[in-house]
Amino acid sequence: MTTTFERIVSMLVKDYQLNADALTPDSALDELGIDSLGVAELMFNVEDEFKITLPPEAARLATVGDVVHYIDGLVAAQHGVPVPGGLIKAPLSPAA
Amino acid sequence: MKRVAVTGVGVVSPLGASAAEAYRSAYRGRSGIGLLDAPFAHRLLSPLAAALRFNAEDHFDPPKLRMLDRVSQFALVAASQALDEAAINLRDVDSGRAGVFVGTAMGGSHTVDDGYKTLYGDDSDRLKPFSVLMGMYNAPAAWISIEHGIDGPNLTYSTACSSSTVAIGEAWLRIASGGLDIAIAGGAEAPLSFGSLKAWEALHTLAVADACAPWASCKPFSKNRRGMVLGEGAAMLVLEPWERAVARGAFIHGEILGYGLSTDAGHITRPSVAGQAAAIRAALASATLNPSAIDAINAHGTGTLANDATETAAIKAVFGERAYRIPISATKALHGHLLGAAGALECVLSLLAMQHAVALPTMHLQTPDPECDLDYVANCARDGVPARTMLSSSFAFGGTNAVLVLGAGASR
Repeated sequence: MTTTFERIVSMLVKDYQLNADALTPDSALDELGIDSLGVAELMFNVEDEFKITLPPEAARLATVGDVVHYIDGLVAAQHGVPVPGGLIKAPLSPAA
Repeated sequence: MKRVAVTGVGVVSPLGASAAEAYRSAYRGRSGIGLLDAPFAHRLLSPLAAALRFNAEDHFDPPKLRMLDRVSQFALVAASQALDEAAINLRDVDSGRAGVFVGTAMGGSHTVDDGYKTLYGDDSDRLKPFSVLMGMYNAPAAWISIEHGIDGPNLTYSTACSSSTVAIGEAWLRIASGGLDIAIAGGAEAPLSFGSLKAWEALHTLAVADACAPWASCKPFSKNRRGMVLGEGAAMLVLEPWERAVARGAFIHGEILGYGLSTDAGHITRPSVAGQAAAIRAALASATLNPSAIDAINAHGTGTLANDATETAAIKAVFGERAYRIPISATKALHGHLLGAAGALECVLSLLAMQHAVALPTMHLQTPDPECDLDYVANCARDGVPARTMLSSSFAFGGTNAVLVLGAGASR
């Protein structure tokens, strides 16, 4: 199953033509050319990709990993299901 | 008042992607007008436009491009061309002493159109986060300042079809009065969105396509003129004090000698002879020139019934019998009406025409109109016209008439 991180990376590669190999959870969005305004647009597309609705207040997201965790939290809250993968590929629950 | 030199020009237009290319097309009478290739073209009564072949990815990185409406893309490319040509190091200019003056009639029309499509067409509330900053009218000027670090006045003028003539004129005033050392001035327009074209169509001012020759559908001053054709693009000029340009050994394209404004204060669209003539007289007065000192004119010449007859009468009102001996060029026959960018493009073409001692042609003028009986340089460029001074006129819906007096550039 594709992780949230992988899906974010593929969005960054497609929309911002960034190099996938250079992207890690610690990558700072600002250094990727995505400032706070750019994050607003990224998250707009994230809503479509993950079928979630962002809360009205803006989140403080500095790294790719921050975005992944934020999305995972919203997916879990809004779809009531465990997050499919998050940053790691292994299932969250061994029992699953 | 200081003399003001034009030391750089940049053009992105239906006639070519540089000032030199646009001038060559205009000289040869090569039209940039054609049938519009767009998914919605079948829903237009007359799918005519002067559209650009413009690949934005050639000019901008993807993250930046996502924030730029087409109008800002044009403005940025034209401004960079003009600054490159002027070879100015903006770091040598004192903080606050360089400014940006841009005209646009319709701003980020594509962004606004996309938003309406989402909201009303798709019945979705998913408006894009960048909608406001891409659609706002001052985005083109703002991006020029950001791109080049220009921290003086940053002003946007929206006076419909005279917007960029006003922008150049207002910049000229700032330089001439000593308020600024450098100005980027011009206009940008990207009005070929579906919504914009339908709105213009509804006004019944757009030309019907010439069935045999769509590229010849705009026919200024011709008896069979049927209206204007919308065009897109941008033109920018670098203005600076004459002495500064000479001192740094800059190539000087020409000179802005004066600028006149008037307002019809009559009708929202119908032009007025008195208003147009008043703007020409105001421009001459600001240049301290008599009508006898004007060698050639770039007309507003839209190809509408109302404008061309009115403009002819206004020129006669100012110049009297001599009006018949002044070469008058209406280049909109070729590049269409770029609305807020039209005046700047025509200003650039006029400066280059003077450099080449040429009167540019008014194309597609096959049927003389008794109401339009001046010398319009019909259908073929005229060589050996050593004009030292030209008028470049722009007359707008809303009534804001603006006229520039241009000089060929050598010492006076």
